[in-house]
Amino acid sequence: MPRHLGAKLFVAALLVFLFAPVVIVVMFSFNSSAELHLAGLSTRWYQDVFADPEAMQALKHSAIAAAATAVGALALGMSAALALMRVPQRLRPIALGLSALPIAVPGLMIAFGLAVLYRQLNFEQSLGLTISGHVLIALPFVLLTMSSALDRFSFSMLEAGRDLGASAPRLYWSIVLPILRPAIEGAALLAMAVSLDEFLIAFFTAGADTTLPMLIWARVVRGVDPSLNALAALLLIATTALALLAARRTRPRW
Amino acid sequence: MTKRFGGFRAVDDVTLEIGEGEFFSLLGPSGCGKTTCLRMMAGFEQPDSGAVRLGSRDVTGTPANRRPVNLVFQSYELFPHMTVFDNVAFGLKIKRVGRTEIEARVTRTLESVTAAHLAARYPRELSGGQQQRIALARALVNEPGVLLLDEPLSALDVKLRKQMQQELKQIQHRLGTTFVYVTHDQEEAFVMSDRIAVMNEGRILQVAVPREIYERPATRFVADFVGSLNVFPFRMDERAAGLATMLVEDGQRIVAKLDASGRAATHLGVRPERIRVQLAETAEASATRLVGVVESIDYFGTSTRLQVATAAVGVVVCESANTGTAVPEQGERVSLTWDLDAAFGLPPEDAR
Repeated sequence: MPRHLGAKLFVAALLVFLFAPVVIVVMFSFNSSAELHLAGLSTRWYQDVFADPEAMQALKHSAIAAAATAVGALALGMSAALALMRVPQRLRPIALGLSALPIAVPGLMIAFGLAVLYRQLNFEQSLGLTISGHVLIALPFVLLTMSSALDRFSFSMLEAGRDLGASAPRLYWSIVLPILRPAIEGAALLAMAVSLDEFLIAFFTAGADTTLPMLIWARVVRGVDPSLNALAALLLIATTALALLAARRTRPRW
Repeated sequence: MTKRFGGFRAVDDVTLEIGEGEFFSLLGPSGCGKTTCLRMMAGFEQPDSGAVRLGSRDVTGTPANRRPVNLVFQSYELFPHMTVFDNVAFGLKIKRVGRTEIEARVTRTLESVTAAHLAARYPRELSGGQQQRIALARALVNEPGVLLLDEPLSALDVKLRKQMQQELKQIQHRLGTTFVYVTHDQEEAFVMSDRIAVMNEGRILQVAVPREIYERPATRFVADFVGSLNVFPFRMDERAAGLATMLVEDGQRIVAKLDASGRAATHLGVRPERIRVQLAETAEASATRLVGVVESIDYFGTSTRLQVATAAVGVVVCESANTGTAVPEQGERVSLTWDLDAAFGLPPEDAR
């Protein structure tokens, strides 16, 4: 018997279990039949989606939320990462751990908590509230990415630049930004990916400003519609592309 | 110059005059203020009092990026996202030097540090020694009035370090640029420098040529820091013809010169390698002669170190070059002697 055959079979089964739903959704999104059997290849469901004003509206909301989340989380996360550099080395893991809490707290708690809070404050449900929630959950990703980049950044390099004649703006454009840019871009992409497929917070706070995951959920409740597959596939492609791109950006090239 | 960090005087009323074209070293243990001195020359620190002058020009208030001096950092600090060429060209680009001239000067400088073939590489693709050369080239290409070097060789292994010492010395000779070199390694300072300033606790203890630092140290700290040392308390028993003699039991004696003002020192310092160890008791009567028993022997390859216990002055450390002559054995009685100019006067222990 080949070595570790059992283990290999187990891993194979696990992978099938993980990827089967994804593969099936993508496969049926290109299926020409509306029934649950594979017929010919077609892009009709995608055409349906793009012709559907409701879907386009949701796509727009999701795109706005993703972009705004990236900007907000980046601004807050970078400031926090810079501030963290001043925290004594010994206490830094604790500070980082605390700031990473939104990852550990159940999403439902955050979503429900935000909904209650905004209700108390008499805020009307809207995409803006959803974005604030997305910033909250994307923040740890930005913070972790940026603080590891800052850890690697040698601040004496700025002195080297100054010694060679560079003014402060020149240092920023020629040294700081190029060195930190991959991390900044990576962090922004991660934040967008987090926002794009977030459902719970959106569900509890967006109100009428339906996002893509909300739309998919609403239609699933109504019954299976083949164009759902196309919608889901679009979401899937967008988030994986962002995550992959983010992983590439955050790995230093030099 | 004086520089305080909080209540701590990192540099305490230091005055230095460094000649044009000189290879000048600041030597001292870590925390002695030598790097702070260098950083004040570079413009990264402002002296609390005092001034930095470059030729006739006062540059105390001039920020680092407008001083015609360049610094080679201990950790090199090459820009990781630029090629070697762009690293070296950085200073020239800021000064808006024309493209063809940048090309020519960068290439010429890289050649002078034998690194022309590395121009297209990134710093992470270089060895430590190569990074060191690029850091040097990046500073030199700007033709600075003074080149400051902050322990630039400390990250290299011993062999490479010795090779780079020779190269630095040659480059300095060829360019005639003033080098100010910070190090805690006395051998490095001796090999390369025209003059050395020895520092401790923010003060300068002695400024002199290497030979004088080693053979005529001004203080006990200097004597101790730059090499091994025997220190004996000295008592003048006889005095004749500019010489003071300390008489020890049965014909043993220590002879020393009187200082310029005709006084004898309270303590004498003698370097281990200046002491001659002889088996036979044949030394002439007028010279220094001590008798002792060999306590231990350490063999170093190029030399042998003996610890000799004497009744007169305790344990004396002697080091003799391995020239093929017989070495005494442990427990043997030996006589020790040294030339008059091998001994130097030192202030008592607590004086600086």
